[in-house]
Amino acid sequence: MSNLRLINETLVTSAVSTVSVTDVFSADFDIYKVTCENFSNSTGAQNIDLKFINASGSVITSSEYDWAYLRLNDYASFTEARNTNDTNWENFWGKDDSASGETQNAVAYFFNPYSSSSYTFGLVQSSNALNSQLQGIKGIGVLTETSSVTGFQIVFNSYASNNGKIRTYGLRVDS
Amino acid sequence: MGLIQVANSLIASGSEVQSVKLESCITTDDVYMLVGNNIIVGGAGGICDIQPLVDSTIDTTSNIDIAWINLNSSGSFQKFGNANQDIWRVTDGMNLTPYATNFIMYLYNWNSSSEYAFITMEVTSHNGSNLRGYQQGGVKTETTSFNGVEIHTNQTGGGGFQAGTQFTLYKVV
Repeated sequence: MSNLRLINETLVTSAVSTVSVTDVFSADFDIYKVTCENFSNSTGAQNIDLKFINASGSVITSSEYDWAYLRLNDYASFTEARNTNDTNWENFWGKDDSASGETQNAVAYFFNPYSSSSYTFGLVQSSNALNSQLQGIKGIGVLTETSSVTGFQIVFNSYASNNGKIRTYGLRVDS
Repeated sequence: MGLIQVANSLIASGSEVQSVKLESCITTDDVYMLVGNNIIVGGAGGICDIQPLVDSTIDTTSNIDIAWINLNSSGSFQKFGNANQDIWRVTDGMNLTPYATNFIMYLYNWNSSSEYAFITMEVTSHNGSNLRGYQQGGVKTETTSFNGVEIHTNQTGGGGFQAGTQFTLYKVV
């Protein structure tokens, strides 16, 4: 049996400005893999950000999100971006768009979100089509607080997204 | 994608070490995934490096070629390439908890006696001052059949890797 265990599958089938995936991080696992497929909207290109959700079910909005990413572009030089003490991991998931076939896709790993003694770290890679162009993100992030995180929120920055699938896996370690 | 665990080392309190060996666990031509989780040391500063094993013996031959870009939250990303070194570096910014280092490293052809051993590595860490992490590719230009991996730090504070540091190797199936 695989040590990668599917915990949750969330589908986006109607227009939403955020998607909250709750109660997926627990004491059962330290490391999680999340895949996002085929986000798209009806209006235009937009960033897709990440916020975490604490054990009380509240979105963590404190200014303790540090992030950095390299954006690989097929039309221009690669772009560097970074910030500290932000209120989210900006553009963590990449971008989606409205044109046919132009969607967002990403895979991320989260380390120790549930721990109340460790920071929550993340890794992400994404591949996104928008404005007839390709962009890809290679990014990292840390939430510099030790509160127990139990879920995450995907934030569509400008427009409602109306399609997509999010899968959350736990990476089991057998002692 | 499925993952089958083939080795694990969790540092326990009172058993802090500077070197961890996952021995005789790479036994097929499959891809393997090495995960470093919550890597912390007993003093600020120091490196975390990786080398291949044949049984319990570290291959220290200087024939590892690498290239990486260092993502970080404090300034321009550094790009670096080098040939003929003897380690794969995870980070040179170790620190005490909660400033941990975490990584995902894929191992390709490590058990092959006819192909070079390749790696890809993604790191996310905090050195106490800023978020940083390598996006790295590498190759060891010899066709030795490796069957394990060694991870070490030069940080001696508290004995090296601290309790809670964990290294786990999976076979990708």
